[in-house]
Amino acid sequence: MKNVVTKNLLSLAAVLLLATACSSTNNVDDPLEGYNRGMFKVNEGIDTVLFRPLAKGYRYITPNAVRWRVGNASDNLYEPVSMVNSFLQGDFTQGMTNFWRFMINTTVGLGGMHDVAATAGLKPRREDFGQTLAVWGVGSGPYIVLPILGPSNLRDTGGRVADWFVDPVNYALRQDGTDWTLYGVRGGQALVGRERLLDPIDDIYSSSLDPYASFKSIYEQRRDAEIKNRYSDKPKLD
Amino acid sequence: MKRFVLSFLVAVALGVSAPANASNPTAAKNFVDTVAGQVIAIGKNDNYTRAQKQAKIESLFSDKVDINFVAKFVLGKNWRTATTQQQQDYIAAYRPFILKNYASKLAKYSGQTYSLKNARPDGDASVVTMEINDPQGGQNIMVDYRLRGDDGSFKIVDITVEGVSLLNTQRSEFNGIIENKGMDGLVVALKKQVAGKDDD
Repeated sequence: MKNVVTKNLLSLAAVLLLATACSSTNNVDDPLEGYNRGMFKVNEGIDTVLFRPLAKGYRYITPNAVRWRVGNASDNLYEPVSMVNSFLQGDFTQGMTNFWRFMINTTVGLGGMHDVAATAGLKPRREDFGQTLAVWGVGSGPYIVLPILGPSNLRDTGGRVADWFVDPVNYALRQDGTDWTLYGVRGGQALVGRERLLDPIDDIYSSSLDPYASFKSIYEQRRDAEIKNRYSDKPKLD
Repeated sequence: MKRFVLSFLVAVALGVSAPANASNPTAAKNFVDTVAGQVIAIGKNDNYTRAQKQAKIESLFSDKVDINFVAKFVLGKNWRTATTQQQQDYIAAYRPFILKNYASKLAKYSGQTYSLKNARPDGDASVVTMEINDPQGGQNIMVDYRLRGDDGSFKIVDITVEGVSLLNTQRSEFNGIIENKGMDGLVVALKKQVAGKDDD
């Protein structure tokens, strides 16, 4: 398993390196634009035939209340890695908040389906290693469209890899000796995420003159807000 | 922060800095409250047809949003280098573009409620934060309204949804198009989009 991941990472690194070498640096803002636009098109194609229809199907067959609970349970699995990153960012209070949110919601909240911790004033905030690096002063590096995963940048790509290896959930879900539970759960989380983005993404496509540029700008702005915890006082309904 | 400082500098460079009146956060909050109330009242009035709703929302939007300011701002330095004719063509194309794409979304009101969080002065503007509660989704949405002017003359100049600003997004999008296809190319693209042909 580890070998496969390492191999994939190496080939990803090679692709990125190649892309950097090939693209001319006429755009300071987006030196990989040539590669990025190509990968954006590929992702668009995959999304159109696979992920968007799956997300629509999921929305179609489930009532709102069910998706809400499933969404909460999915979010709950991000708490451990958020906790690690809160601590790494030196935010002890938030780290403890993530810890107690996970403990309370996993048990009393029935596997995270009910966000009872939020009702008790423990507000959710997702932290990842990309944000941690930013807090440590690492710049974003060039914008990168990742295969399937979509918009990112050099810093956040590194962050995703680090999070994957650190995340206790990944180890917990491998307890049964195979990787299938892990991939099933992660796939489910991806589906939940795509369903939530159905309307916003459709909106971007209906109003944008250049969806590639819109996604890039929106990604950068969102990350900026997340790094600075701009909506940290955002309340949440259970 | 850097981005914000930059946009602020651009604003100053464009010569749009407001008269030196201190903005009044409470009045700004009341203004947003009133406008949001009007939007909801139109949205849930079942006596209107969809077209009527759309028309009412568009006229409210034109009245409360400083569309000319937004149009100029998103062009950045390209506004100054454009010819007077290009500027006029652009404004003429931008107005229906923003009405079609943004006002129309407000007309699709379906039971959301809102509460106003805080209002703070920011440079020469006021920023009012709104939390929208969607009874369907469980995910609240945070929206910042950026206002210029003062009590009685407030106009909305930017709407930021969960950290994503309309101005910033359109600016990078438009500048890319100008870089590749020029000002005239942008005007053509805007008109095409309004006409419903999204593809190049």
